[in-house]
Amino acid sequence: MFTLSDQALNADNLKAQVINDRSGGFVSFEGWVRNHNHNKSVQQLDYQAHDKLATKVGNEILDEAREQFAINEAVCSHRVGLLKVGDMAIWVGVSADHREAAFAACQYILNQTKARVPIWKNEHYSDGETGWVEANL
Amino acid sequence: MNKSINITLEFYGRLQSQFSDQPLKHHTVATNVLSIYLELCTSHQQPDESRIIKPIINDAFCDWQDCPKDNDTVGFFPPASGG
Repeated sequence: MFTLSDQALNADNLKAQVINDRSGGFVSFEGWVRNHNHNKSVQQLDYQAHDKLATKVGNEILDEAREQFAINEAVCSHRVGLLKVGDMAIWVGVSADHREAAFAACQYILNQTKARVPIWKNEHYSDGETGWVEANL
Repeated sequence: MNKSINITLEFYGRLQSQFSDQPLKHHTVATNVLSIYLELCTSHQQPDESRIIKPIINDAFCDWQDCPKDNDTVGFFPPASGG
């Protein structure tokens, strides 16, 4: 399931949706807000999304991953709203019988989410300026 | 002569700073979404980025050649930058 959240992501709760007895492995990725980008000091990020289409496209990507890789469960959750440095912006988790499929599917979901899900990032810099970030694939 | 329609325009991401950060009521005789977008580029003195922008009508992806109806909401997505 793909979800958007305006509350802090809870990795333990998300992991609980993915792990199961039939899986021999679990791979996850956490994307955090870092304090710099392109030599500018970042204080916070404001993520904006088109809720309906972000959820639709996100779930399409998870379906694609299930078709392309031998995985058992896949979950992706993305924050929206104002995030400060260190906050988790995205969580991707995949369980599978074997590690290769879990690693590959996790990377696929992350890359496709960054490229296709209608979410946009506005950086707030220490000098008071803001700037919309272009796709960083 | 083309029929005029009233639509609402919505912009997302960086397009909000280029066009409007609030929904705009728009009256137009343009026939399709591309014509409407190009009309906006001219009026806001912005470059044509239709190659990388995705249009939507009433919260669903659409083609540039699709024609909105009266009272529809037309939106424009810049390239995604989540993650």
